[in-house]
Amino acid sequence: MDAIDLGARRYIWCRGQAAWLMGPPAAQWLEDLRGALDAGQEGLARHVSRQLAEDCAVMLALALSHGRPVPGPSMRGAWALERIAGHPAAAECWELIRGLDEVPVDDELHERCARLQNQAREVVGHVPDALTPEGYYPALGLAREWIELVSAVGESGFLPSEWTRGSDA
Amino acid sequence: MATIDTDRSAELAERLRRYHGVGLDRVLEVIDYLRDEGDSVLVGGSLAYGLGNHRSDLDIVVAAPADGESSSRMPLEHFVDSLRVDVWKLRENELEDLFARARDGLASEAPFEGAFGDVFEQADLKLLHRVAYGVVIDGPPVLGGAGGANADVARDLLVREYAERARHSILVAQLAVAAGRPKAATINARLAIEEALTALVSARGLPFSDNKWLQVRLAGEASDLRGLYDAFAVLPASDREAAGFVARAVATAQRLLGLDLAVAALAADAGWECERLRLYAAGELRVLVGAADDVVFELSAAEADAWAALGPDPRPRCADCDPTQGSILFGLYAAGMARLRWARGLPPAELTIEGEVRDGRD
Repeated sequence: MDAIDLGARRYIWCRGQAAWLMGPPAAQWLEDLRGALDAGQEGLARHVSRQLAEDCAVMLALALSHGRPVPGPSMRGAWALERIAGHPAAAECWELIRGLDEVPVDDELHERCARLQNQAREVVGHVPDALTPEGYYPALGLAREWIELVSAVGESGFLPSEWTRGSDA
Repeated sequence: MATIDTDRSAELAERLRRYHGVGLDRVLEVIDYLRDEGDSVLVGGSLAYGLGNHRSDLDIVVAAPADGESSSRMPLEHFVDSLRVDVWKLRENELEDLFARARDGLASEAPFEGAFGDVFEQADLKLLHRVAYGVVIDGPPVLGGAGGANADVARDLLVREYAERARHSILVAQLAVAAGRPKAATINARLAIEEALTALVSARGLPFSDNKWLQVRLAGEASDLRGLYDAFAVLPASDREAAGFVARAVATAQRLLGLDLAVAALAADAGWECERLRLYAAGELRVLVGAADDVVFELSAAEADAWAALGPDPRPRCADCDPTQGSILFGLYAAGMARLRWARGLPPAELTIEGEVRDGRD
């Protein structure tokens, strides 16, 4: 057993944000990257690898340094990079966010991004992709467990806004 | 019902066959349960605009008559073999209301600030473009058909939205340089260029699907802008190069949008909002506490005095902040505890972007 040397509220909030706000988009970026590489769309590959790296950096920052709150989109990439400095994935996050001089339209870039996503998932945990037939119901089931957990520590709201619109006003 | 938009429907159908082996007839069959007499099926999104790939989903708007079935702002998800089909069912009068709101927004001086979708969802922006530029695959034309006045509204709204975003990003980039945050500076400088280019590409009448397609546009229909973007596509490896990178981005964004984007010019219209923190003193300790966010910031005595001078729930203009106040507020912004707001938007008449576009066309 590991005793978490942090307030329960902050710990759960950060893990929930990392898993739900950043995890599903990161998975979607990897899908987009596959499509871009198969279609030879270098510009799209460049964009999505950058976005995936930023989401992974934010996931790691939340789970490892428990930063709260997450800043707005314009600052969160830099915010996350500061917090994960020294982590084995930090250099790769920065390289991909920085952008690639040459984008290899082949599997190498996909492998790099998949590796990074797996590193983040090892820390944060895996959320099934609700946008796929096989992930839809597992994602809903996991969401229900998370709602119970965050409610237990007096927190609310980590699901994507489109999941909760109308019920969290 | 008559099928219109024959050429574009045929191109779309060919794409679906190539990527998924699926015909438009099967798509119509799957979503048939959502349809009523007299409605239209409109396809928008990347696949309809000649972008997309085999992983792209198909975005469909079923436009119902004003007295049609109840509507949903959230898409209903379907799968036709490997093709994901997202369907919004909306009444035509709701679409008319959205365009009316867009026209009001364009006529107003108030900044958009997410009124038509935030950075992630962009829901209304995309919907406006689906209606204005989408492909009707079955049923009568929607709101008078593609193009025309609705396309002008959709185009101008996007131009203004992205011009305002570019203004925001370029100010953040310059403030980040001043605050010694080089990565935030360069990330925002590149973002500002991308937003300015999106405004420019949109002004040319190219429909919008998502930010992620900008670079594909720059490799295709807008290839004359590719060289300009290439200078900013990769951020400097060294933090020491950040200030120069941002300065070049400011100059380029100014040229693209026809605006003065220097901090001195922007600071009068930009302001900070920070109502989630309270200053406390305990002996020599000075702290800003955000109880709801479970955060605390320790201040020096001079910083505490500068903060106190802002009053409770500070909302100062950037131009009115002294260097200490500006430094604290930018630090809070970087930590997610302050917002940067604008007193006014950028009505299209203030942008010279159309002139740039005409030059580009000529």
